[in-house]
Amino acid sequence: MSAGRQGPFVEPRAVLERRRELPIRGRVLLEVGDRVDRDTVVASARTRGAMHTVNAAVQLDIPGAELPRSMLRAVGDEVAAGEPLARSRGFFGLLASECRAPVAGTIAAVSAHTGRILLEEPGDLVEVRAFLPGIVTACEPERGVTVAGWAARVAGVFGVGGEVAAELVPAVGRADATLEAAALDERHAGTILLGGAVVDAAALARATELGVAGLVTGGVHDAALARWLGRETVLADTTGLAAPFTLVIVGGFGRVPMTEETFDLLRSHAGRVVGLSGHTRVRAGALRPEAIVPLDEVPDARPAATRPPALSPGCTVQVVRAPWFGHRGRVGALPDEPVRVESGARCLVAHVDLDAGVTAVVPRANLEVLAGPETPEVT
Amino acid sequence: MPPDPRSSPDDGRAPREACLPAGLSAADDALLARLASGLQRRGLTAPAIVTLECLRPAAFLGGQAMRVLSPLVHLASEGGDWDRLAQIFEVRGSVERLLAHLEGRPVALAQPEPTETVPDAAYVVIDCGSTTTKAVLIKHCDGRYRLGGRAEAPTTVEAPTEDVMVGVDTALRLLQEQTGHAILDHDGRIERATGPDRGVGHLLATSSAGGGLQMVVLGLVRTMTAASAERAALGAGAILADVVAWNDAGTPTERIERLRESRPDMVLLAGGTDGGAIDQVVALAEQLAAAELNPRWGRGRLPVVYAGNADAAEAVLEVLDPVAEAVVAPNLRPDLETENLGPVRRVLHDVFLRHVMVRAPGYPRLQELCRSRVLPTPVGFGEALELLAAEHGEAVAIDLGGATCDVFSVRGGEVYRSVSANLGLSFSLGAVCERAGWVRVGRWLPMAVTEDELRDRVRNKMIRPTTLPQTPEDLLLEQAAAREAVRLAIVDHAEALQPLHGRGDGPRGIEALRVTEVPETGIDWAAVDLILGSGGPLAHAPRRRQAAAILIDACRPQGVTRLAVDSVFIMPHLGALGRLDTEAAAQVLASDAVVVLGTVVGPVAGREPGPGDPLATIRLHGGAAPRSDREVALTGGELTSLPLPDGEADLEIVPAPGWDFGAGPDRAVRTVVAGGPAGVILDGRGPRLPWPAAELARRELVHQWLTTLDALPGRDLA
Repeated sequence: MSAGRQGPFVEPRAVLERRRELPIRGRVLLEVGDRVDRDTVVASARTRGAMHTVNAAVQLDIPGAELPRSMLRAVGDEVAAGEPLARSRGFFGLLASECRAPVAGTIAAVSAHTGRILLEEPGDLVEVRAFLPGIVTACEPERGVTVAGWAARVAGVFGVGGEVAAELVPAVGRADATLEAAALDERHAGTILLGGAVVDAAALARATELGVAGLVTGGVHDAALARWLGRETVLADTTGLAAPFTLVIVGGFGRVPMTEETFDLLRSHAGRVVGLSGHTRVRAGALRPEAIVPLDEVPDARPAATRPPALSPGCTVQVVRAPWFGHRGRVGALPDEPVRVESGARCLVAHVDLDAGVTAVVPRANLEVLAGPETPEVT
Repeated sequence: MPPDPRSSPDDGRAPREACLPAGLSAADDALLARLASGLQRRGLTAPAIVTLECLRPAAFLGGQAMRVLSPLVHLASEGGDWDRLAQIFEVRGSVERLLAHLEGRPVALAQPEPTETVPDAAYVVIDCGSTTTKAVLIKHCDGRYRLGGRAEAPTTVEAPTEDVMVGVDTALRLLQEQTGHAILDHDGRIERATGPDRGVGHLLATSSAGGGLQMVVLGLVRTMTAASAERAALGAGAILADVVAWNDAGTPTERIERLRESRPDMVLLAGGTDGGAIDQVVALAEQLAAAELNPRWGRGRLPVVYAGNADAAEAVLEVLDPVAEAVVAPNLRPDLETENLGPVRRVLHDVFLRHVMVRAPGYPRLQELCRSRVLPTPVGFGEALELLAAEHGEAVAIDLGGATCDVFSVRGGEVYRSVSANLGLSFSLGAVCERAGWVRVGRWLPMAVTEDELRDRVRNKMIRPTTLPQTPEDLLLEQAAAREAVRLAIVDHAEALQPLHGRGDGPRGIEALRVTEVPETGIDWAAVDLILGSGGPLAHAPRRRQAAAILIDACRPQGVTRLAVDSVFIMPHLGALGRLDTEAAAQVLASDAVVVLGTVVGPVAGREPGPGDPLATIRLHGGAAPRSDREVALTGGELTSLPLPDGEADLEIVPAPGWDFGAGPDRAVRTVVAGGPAGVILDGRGPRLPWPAAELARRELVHQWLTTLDALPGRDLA
């Protein structure tokens, strides 16, 4: 398991593969080679229903051991609400009493030890949709499918809120701008907004009021996020966290200007429908948020696996920790021996020629590789 | 792969009569096999093995086994077998034979593997952690065992690799490359030892990969059987996914939903005292069955250990059998006054190895390579701490990681463990700040930082947990959070160690049900001789003195206490080694694993020292310090240190009237103290630190403390 992020973080045009899995075992509805749209249901399952305990022996005034003999219906039977489940014999048929089902459901168990009946309500239907238009490249029975499709993609580092798709609308003009409440109006209802370096608390509240579907931003202050969510995000796991709309942060907490590449790529798709997922789980399974813009082509087959760019001299990097947090640069040297940095920590470092015009010594652990050495100079 | 305990014990192969213990016929052996099979069918394999293992040292008593085994034999054998079994157990070796049938290895016993021991052969010990697999070479040189080398590789138990052996192989190859010691042969198999310098005498392993042993425990009363079950699970090295009690608020439906949300490796179900009513614990078993939990790894039925009212065992097994692999352990609360955790822990460990470990990808092959059972990492850590405690006295260890903080204490030869699930310095950093409060974290900083800035820095570490603090400010922030994480983990440990509800030293009987407040208990710091820090933030602090400062500030030690860190994180390895070769493990602990930071001296709690109050006159004699004899008058609120870079020195403490430094009020303390990078720290601040109300004064004071302990990062932040 690695908690560090691996690129690429910005992909103008790539074949993406996404596993679309049910949370529980169910039915896969498609086969390899099937074409899918964003809303195509690829797999479905029924969750287990709520369990009800019926204290039947007490209701019938009989010992628990007599309950199995008193049952009118068997384990596995479906029963309607109010239907008799068990009946006591009474005295020569007189004074017999009945125990009825409090809800509709299936009889899951009958206990001779405790005299109780367990009744399970019908579960809910769970459906998984394709989200990424394309073709099915693999099926895992009872679990789900893998879908491949052409798309532009921007990776986020943290987010909240589930999957949503809507028209992308730039709400700021620059990658280093602050998204303020004054920039938002009724035209933004139901859209996904493109922000800049930071979104303030008032803008988050205004966007919620307007019914915005999502927002991509470089950064957000944690205090503003907590106020907007009405709770703290104490763990880096937001998969179960409800949010007023889906928020994807691509830089980090605080004011973190979006890279020009990220901002320009998303802005170039303004007006198109964008898929956004805010779910984040940094540990165990490493799930990160993303924005996906499907392109109008369908791949012929499963794409070849691409290796993320490795840290090497000449590659383009972004620093993700103070004192150069948010700065980009090109790697010069990669000394073999650990070096002591300002905090006193000894670690492997890289010499980075930063866009700020200085060459900085940065722990390798504090760098994210944006592109390999073969790409043109950083703009 | 270890045998399925429910399968036929002899796999259709008859053991060779010639190899049976003298006095035992083939018919007798068949009867033992039938008894083993009966025990297995009733899910009693684990308790039977535990009972027999306990009996083994007294095997010469022979037939006395029948008295101990009678409850199990009654359950699992025909009435007519009774007399013959009583005679069989008079035969020397019959207990071992029954054990062999229970463990499904009758042939192995009949034809024992030739055990070839090479004197002073090297050991290789592997710890499969959740992130990295660490392999260490323990080698004999110059008359004693030493750490010969250490290598690590990413753990590969999770997707995409899903085979723990890939990471193990990589770590072993790296270890071989780094040390030059022959560990693997040309075919990639473990090279057999031919002498101290070639090959491996024994390979051993501990594991917490894939999140370790994840357990859910259930009991009837939260403060009684559920609390005992929790302690048993923690003692067995588990991470608790949930603790569910019958008397928790909520409906049965909500309880079942809670169970369904968890995804444990194993469940421990407890409840009821022996001879008491069985209804509630059976109903709890029914709810557990209704949840139909699936094991975290692989397919098949979830292992459930039942350790409740013995009278309910049969009914519980009947309820659980359709959905779970249920086994029965001795009741962990046979009566309100007794807590019997040891046998349950052994059953949990046994079930972990037989049912959980074999399902984890690659583990059966790892187990095959090891000469003894793979231990859960925390169990290995606890056993190494026991070895340390045997040398140093009462000990406390704090293992602070990225996601959790484990606290171990050894008192009277028993190891107690608690796990604070969300107190860590990377993934869980936000949870530390949230629980402690942002102000409490911020007060350890010697510079001005707004809460908003602090929050953003903390969240950025959480979402990029592998980054390192490059600036002094970032390091100070992480170390401030470390102080609070350790402080809170100690609070959790105290809660886990509270007096047993229902027993003499706690609330008794029905009163126990009414008590909701946790009594003020926990670690008796005045009795603690050693505090050991482990985990990245403590063991790899840029300066050793910083680790000492964190431990002192968070633990508030009293009397005379040695401070140390587990420098290369090989405590779990040495715990595993200690089971096989205690002397080798103790030698490596002393020479390579533990780095002594120094010694701290402070007054015993009970009185709050006022600023400037005379507390004691302290004299340090000898040692390789700049001055051989030093004398300090320690006053209230004062923090100072005497350099003692290495070696030992004689310490004499003469308390001021009414003050106690460990020997009792007004009694002088004379002892030998260990030196180290932090020297001898004299801490007159008392159990409650004297925080000034004014912000500027607070920053100055923290700066002064850090300067005194020489624990400031790279540059001055004044």
